[in-house]
Amino acid sequence: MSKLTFERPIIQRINAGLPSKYGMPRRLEPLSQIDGVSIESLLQEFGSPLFILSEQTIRKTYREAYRAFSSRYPKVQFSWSYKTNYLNAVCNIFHQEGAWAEVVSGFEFQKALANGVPGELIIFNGPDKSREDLKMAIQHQSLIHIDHFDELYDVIHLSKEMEERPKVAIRVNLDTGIYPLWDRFGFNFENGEAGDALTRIMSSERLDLVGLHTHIGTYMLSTDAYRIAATKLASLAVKLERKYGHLIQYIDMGGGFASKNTLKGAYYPGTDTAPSFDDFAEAITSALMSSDIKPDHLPMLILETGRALIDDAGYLAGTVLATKRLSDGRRATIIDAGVNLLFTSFWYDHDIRPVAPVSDQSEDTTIFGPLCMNIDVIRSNMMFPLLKKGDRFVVRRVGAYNMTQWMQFITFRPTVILLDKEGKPHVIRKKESLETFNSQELTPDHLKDFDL
Amino acid sequence: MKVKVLIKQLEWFGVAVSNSYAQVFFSDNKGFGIALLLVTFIDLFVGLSGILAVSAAMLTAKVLGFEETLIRKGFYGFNALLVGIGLGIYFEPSQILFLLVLLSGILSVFLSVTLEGVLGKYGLPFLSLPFILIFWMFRLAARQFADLGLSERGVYVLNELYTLGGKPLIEFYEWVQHLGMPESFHSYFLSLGAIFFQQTLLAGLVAALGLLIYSRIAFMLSLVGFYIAYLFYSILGIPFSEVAFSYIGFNYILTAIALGGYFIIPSRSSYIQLLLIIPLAVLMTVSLQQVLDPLYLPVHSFPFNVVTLITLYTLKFRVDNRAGLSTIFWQQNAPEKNLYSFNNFMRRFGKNSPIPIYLPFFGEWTVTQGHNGQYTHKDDWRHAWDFEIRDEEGRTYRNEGDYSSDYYCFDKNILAPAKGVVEKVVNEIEDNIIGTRNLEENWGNTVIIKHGEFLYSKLSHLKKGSIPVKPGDTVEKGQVVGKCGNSGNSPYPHLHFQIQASPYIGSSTIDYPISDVLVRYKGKEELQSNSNPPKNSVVSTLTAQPEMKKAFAFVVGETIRFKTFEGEEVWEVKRDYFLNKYLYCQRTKSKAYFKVDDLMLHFTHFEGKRKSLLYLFYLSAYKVSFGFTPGLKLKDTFPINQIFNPRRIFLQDFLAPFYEYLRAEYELEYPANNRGFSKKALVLKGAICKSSFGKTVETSRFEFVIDRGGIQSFEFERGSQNIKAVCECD
Repeated sequence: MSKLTFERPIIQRINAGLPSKYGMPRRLEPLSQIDGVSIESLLQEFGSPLFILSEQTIRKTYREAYRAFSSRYPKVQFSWSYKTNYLNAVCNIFHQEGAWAEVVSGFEFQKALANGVPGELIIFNGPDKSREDLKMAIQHQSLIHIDHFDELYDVIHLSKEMEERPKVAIRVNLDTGIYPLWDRFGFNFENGEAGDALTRIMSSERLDLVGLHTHIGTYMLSTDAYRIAATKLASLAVKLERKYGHLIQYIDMGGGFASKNTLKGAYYPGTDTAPSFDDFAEAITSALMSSDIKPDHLPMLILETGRALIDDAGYLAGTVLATKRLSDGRRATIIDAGVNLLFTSFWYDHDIRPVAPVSDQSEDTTIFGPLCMNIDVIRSNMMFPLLKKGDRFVVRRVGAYNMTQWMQFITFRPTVILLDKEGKPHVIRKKESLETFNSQELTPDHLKDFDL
Repeated sequence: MKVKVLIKQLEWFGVAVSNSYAQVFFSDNKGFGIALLLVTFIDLFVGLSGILAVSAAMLTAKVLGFEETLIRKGFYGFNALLVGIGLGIYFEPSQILFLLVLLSGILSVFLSVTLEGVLGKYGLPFLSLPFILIFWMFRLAARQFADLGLSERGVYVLNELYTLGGKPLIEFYEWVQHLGMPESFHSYFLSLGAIFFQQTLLAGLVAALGLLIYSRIAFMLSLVGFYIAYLFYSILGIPFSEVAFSYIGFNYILTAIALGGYFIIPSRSSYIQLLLIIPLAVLMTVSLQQVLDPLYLPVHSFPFNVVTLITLYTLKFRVDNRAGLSTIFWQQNAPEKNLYSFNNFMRRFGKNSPIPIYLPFFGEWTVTQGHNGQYTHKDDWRHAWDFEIRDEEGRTYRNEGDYSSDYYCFDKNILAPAKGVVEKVVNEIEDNIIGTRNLEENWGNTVIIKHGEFLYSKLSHLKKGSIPVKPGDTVEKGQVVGKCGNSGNSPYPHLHFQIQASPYIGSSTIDYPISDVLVRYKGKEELQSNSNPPKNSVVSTLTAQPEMKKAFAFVVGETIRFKTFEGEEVWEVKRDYFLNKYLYCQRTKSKAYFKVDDLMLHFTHFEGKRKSLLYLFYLSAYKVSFGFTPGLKLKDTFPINQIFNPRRIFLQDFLAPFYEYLRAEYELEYPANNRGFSKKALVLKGAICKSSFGKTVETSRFEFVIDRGGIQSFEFERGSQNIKAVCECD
């Protein structure tokens, strides 16, 4: 019998929690491999911390989502939401699978163009579109989703100056029975603003109204909200046809599908509560198919879901920097990835696992990031095995938003690698260095020298 | 000016008369008709009598108001012609005779129509039965006519020829008569001439030459038929003289042409069958002669009529075509044309599907059991498909697959495969637990939809309570009629789809193709117009793009205008008596036939000037899909007689029943990039490649530019010739 590892004795209140239908809480299963590649070896090769993306998972998830919709509706198009993850490699995987691009700023627009997406396959969303951005979008015959009247006036002005006819849709916000009501983007349906905007567009005669767009919220756990939204948009399309004889060519239901991450404060884990693509697809397509739109005129259904397509494919692996015990006796584990890299830890209880099997014993633990800031808490309270300095951990489902919302704060942003279909790692974003930042900075001459 | 109008008005008559002559050899070739007409004039009075009978028949048919296309084809004339010639040969010319000829012409129309009615019910041609009946009638009646003298002119051919063409003709005739040739050749030519009651070598030679020019296959068949009979006579030792033989020998020639290539598509099998059929015809002739001789009636072409009709009738009752004898369904009046278009049709469509039936679902599904499947698609139910959805790993379910809801196809919308009326609905059978089957209610929840007479589709194993329609409801193509479930004999969720001829649950299936299916099978992707997807193929339906429909889904009554360097071309979309749709170019009188359904356009046939723009358009839009995936490629083949110069296929014609070395291939390529909703024009490019023994002979290229208004321009390039046509759309 080999010698057991020493574990420091502590006194702990029995806190098993209520048994769920599966019995008592189990220990955390370690996660040592991604697509058959050892995480430990990746960390050794590319350094710690490290973002790891799985191409296999991305493609699989995309196809599952596409299948869920295309087996229910004749014309389905996905559009990759750039803000969710605009690493070029990631975008191009989606484009290879057939997705268009959905962007919300001039920067993202240019990024999509640079990736080779034809202008007419770019959907331009969001409240912030400068005149220059709009000009660029009109020139490229992109689909401009108008967010507010000021933007609409801009587009109408531009349409008088420019040769190309702008292709526009309006973003509509509507009451789907959920709280909070997302009424800050687009034109409201219930108070008639959406109708006014459409009248405005139709009477301008200089814009091509090609679609209708809504985006009812984010991390939606209710499919019924989508059913209501699709029904209301369809009724708007029918009104347009009746009033102006105008057929819209697509309905864009936006995104907001929940991923399997667990929201803070949620009673059940996300893996159990998040509806599947099939659930969302059924709600949306059945609403459109049973609407008053004539079967011959069924518009294309565009989906801009980002989070649900990429979250599962992303992992953040790293190393334990230290452990300590807090004043109240709670255990604390300090890891080398903080809120600077895991922006989403502000709203998710992230699923953190040890990479190698350690002891069966778990303890109530707070997990801190490496930043010298009080807010840098990854998990404030979780049953976690007793990792030691140098042990590896991995955070699951971090593919969405983290690689776009991460902060360069205190330390550099790490390497991002992509495991291709054969499990071969490719660096798709290099770790930043001092030069990355210094190259952007200019120091006035009188500040170049100092004596200490 | 007036003369021109008059000529135009009489044009039908000329065509009808010449076709009446050609029809005797099943042809509608004008030159051949005129050659035969001249042959009959070897004997002036015979010739006159023939043309009089034909004219009488034509005028009768016209005055009574029969279908003009049939009159023009000589359909009502060839029997009158035979009667007229027969009477002219047998009787001395007199006023009475000409009156009788006139009457016989009129009678032949009546009898033709009557027999058409009687035999038409069985889908059989009336052939020369009217002639035989009328001629026998006159032969029997004539014995009572004192004023009608039997002609002896047949004996004094030279006298006749002298009056017709003087000395040179006599010399030519003599030269021909004494051409050195084997005895059998001699008999062959005499037999050919005897069809028109002409017992001269010259008549036979002209007829043979005409036959060769009209059809290589018919010419070959005439030799095959003749020699089989000739040998059979020799083997059996039936006594025959050359003259007597030639008076019945044409029966074998006509039988061989009719069954070897005219009513049956020429092929190796059609040639081989003659080895059996011709001897049967010989036996029948010999025995009929025994019956008719005491009545002083000649057998004429009676044996040919009987053998041809019973053979064609018998072939109708086969359940499959294992013998390779395909009867024609579209008569083009030449064995070559029939053969080329039949082969092409089989390659392109395989089966006729007058009412298109589409896939009954959205998205990509996999065939998990096809026709003659290993599990349940057997015997009466062998023409059915089972469909499921598979993921990239080939699994049909997620998780463990323990519940119906784990299966990808479960609860998916099932659609009406075509417009129709709901006949039967079963909606109350419980869905099975995975792995169990309900053999009591084998078909489970089912919808049966009627799409036309004897055409029903059945969708089975649907989810309990999911069917929103009821019997009597009209459903549109693509309307949701239920959801995929797991009821009946179904251990796990799948859709059972079959086409049947009767409206009952449990009816046996019929072999009917699915239209316009994008099939991925063994790594190849192909858009099949008429599809019977095999097991493990992944199938889906493309969605039609509105601009493609606008460009290529021609609507009857529509006019299409193109402007070229040479001027304006105007095409009308028309529909003929048989509901075939075609584009018609007034200027060149050209027709391009097409068939169009919700998703595809196919051109099927072209008639007219090959120099016309319409011909180039027919070549270029030969197969067009209204829906497409980026970079989709369509391939097809042309019937070679529609592409190659007739001189070029002369040799090929002889070989065609056995081997085609000429090929003409069509390819159309869709743009590789998606255009979204932009107004950018859609550019379709394609090529037509002619090859001989696999070597490319000529490649033509074409290009369509299509925008929201339909076709914008069309360009065709062949060698140095480049034609650009711009559409003048409204």
